[in-house]
Amino acid sequence: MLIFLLIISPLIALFISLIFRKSQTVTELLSVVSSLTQLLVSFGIASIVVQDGFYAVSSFLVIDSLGCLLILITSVIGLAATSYNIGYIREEIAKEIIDFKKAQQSYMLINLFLFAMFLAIAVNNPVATWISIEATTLSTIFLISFYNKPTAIEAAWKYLVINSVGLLLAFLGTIIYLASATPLLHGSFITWDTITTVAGSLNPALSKIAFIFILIGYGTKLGIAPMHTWRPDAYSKAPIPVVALLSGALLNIALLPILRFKFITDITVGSMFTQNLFIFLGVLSIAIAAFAIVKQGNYKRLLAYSSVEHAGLILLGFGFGGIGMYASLLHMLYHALAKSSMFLLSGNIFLKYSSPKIKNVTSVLSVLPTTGVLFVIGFLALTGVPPFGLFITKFYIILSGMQHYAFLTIGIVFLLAVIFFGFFQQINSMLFGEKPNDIKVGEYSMWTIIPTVVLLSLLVFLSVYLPDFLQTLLQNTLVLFKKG
Amino acid sequence: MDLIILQLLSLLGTTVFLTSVLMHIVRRNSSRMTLYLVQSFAVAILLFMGGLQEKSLGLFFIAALTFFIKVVFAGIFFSKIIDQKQVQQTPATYLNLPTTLGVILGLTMLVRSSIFAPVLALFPVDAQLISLALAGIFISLFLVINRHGAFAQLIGILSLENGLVVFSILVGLEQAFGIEVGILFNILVWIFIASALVSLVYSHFGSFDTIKMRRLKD
Repeated sequence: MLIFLLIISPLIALFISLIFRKSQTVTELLSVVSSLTQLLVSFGIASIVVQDGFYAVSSFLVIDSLGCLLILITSVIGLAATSYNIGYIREEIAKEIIDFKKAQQSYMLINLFLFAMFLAIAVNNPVATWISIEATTLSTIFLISFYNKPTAIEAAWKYLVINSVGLLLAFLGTIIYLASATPLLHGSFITWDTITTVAGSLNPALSKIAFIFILIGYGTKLGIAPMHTWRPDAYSKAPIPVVALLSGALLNIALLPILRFKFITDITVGSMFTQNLFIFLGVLSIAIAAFAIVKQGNYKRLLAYSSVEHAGLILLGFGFGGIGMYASLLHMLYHALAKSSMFLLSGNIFLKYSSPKIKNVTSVLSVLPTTGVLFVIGFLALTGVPPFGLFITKFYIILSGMQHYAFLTIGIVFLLAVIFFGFFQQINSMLFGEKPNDIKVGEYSMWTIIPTVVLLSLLVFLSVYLPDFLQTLLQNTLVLFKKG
Repeated sequence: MDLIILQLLSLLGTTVFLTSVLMHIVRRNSSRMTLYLVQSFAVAILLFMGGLQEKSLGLFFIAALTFFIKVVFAGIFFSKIIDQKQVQQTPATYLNLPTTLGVILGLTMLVRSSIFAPVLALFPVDAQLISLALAGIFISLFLVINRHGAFAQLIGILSLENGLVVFSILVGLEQAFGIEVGILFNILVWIFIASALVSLVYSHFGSFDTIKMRRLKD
């Protein structure tokens, strides 16, 4: 029941808002109530998963510890993004950037996006996972082209073409995997679990070919280098609440099938094969992000490249193995909170300055005092300054790397230092300097502040204290991977 | 009877491969669209044959749905785009024709190389056809990369998807009925969204040429 409620609640909100499409209040209320329901249901599901190890209503809909972790992340970011959307949309309507009809589209498409994400986590069949992840692409196309400007259309087209090709390659990998597993399953329904049970008997050469396609395919959706090119474009053009969802929630969901197939491939061919691929793509992502961040002139694109960096770090942790895997799981959680709050804060800056260019933004600390302070906190968290959780996870990822790949890890530390100083330089010029005369001092509304405060507070809280249920979910996920 | 089925299977597999090669050579958008419709028709027949062989009502339904979505619906949609925008000539390629044909040859040889030997060994009897399907997939992917035109890229992605369907049929992969319908529903929505976006590309840039999309830079 809970799982159906989780998946269907965004659709219910969508249909009711279609009925009351002339009322802005109903639409706003519905989006928040729906997201709040998803959050409560997620905690309900988490309590079952912590107790029983998984939650299933049929062989088709199953949530394990990893899935549960992602559902919790998605619902927290979902609530923050939909709440923020109210303030953001109101302001855009007031500035006559969009009309209410357009605003309605944003609420509806965000609900559709949330539906596709929850479905992608809950389904237990690799092809159904693929369908759901493809649905996340389709539901976000018109959110990226939302402002209907040439640049937005360009970003949407790149997003569609690159992600569609990527996902079709992932589908090819999935077909190869299933074709080799099907004869061993004797006609039973294919699930992640059933493939895992026969993983030891799969053809190793086939598994390697299939995994490469899967990593390239879903890696495109994940936005790791060199398949990351859609990310800065899409992130700089989509409405900010959508970007918060793309970077905070979807990034982790795209990683889900990669990790599930990694687990299966590790059983078939041993873990070195996937680990080496993860390390290669992880280092490449961090290196490309470092160069892009240093010369970046657009703060939305700066944050997009920071997502490329963090996706690379997550892959590195899984690639290094050991404590690095635990750190990567935690990194997924901390990064989601930090990055989505940073994007929401960048939305406040964009609303005030009407420009995404760093050179046009000065004196944020005096123009938007609360946003400015939160932006500094978010920057410190993202770049891994203690006591934030991302410092601990980066530290453990580096530590696990030093054990087997000392020289490579020193190189990575250097790249992370470059990213820190590059990021600092850009943020510094935005925070200080002379206040533009034509810009009024002051925040817009509580709707655009409270969600970011909640996300950053949660990040700080979880950095110093991990509740028992989260620790159990993380440990159970780790046990699952260590079997591989 | 078996020989006829085998020959028909070979004919359909070859059609899918050849249409993906010809999509590189033709210059007109309408020709490329026709090739895609022919290719999709071949895929629908392949699914229909699978239904006959398995005596599966579900597969007949999937074949009919494939025909409706990929031949009828896509045909109507794409014709409208081409007629409305009056854009017959497709924008140029990054590589010239001889080099393009060379790359296609290389991709076909790659599929027959030792790299993909484990995949072809899945079903040794159908190895030739499986290699044609795989080559079709890579040639379609190359179409998306090599062509500037948004419409050509759209057709390339759909052709890639057709190649995947043929590949999955040949390796004997059958999904649950609901999942098959889910995949087709995704394709239907994809065609709808991609067509709308291609029209928007034309409205904003006055052409299907993606070379003109150079505004987003670091």
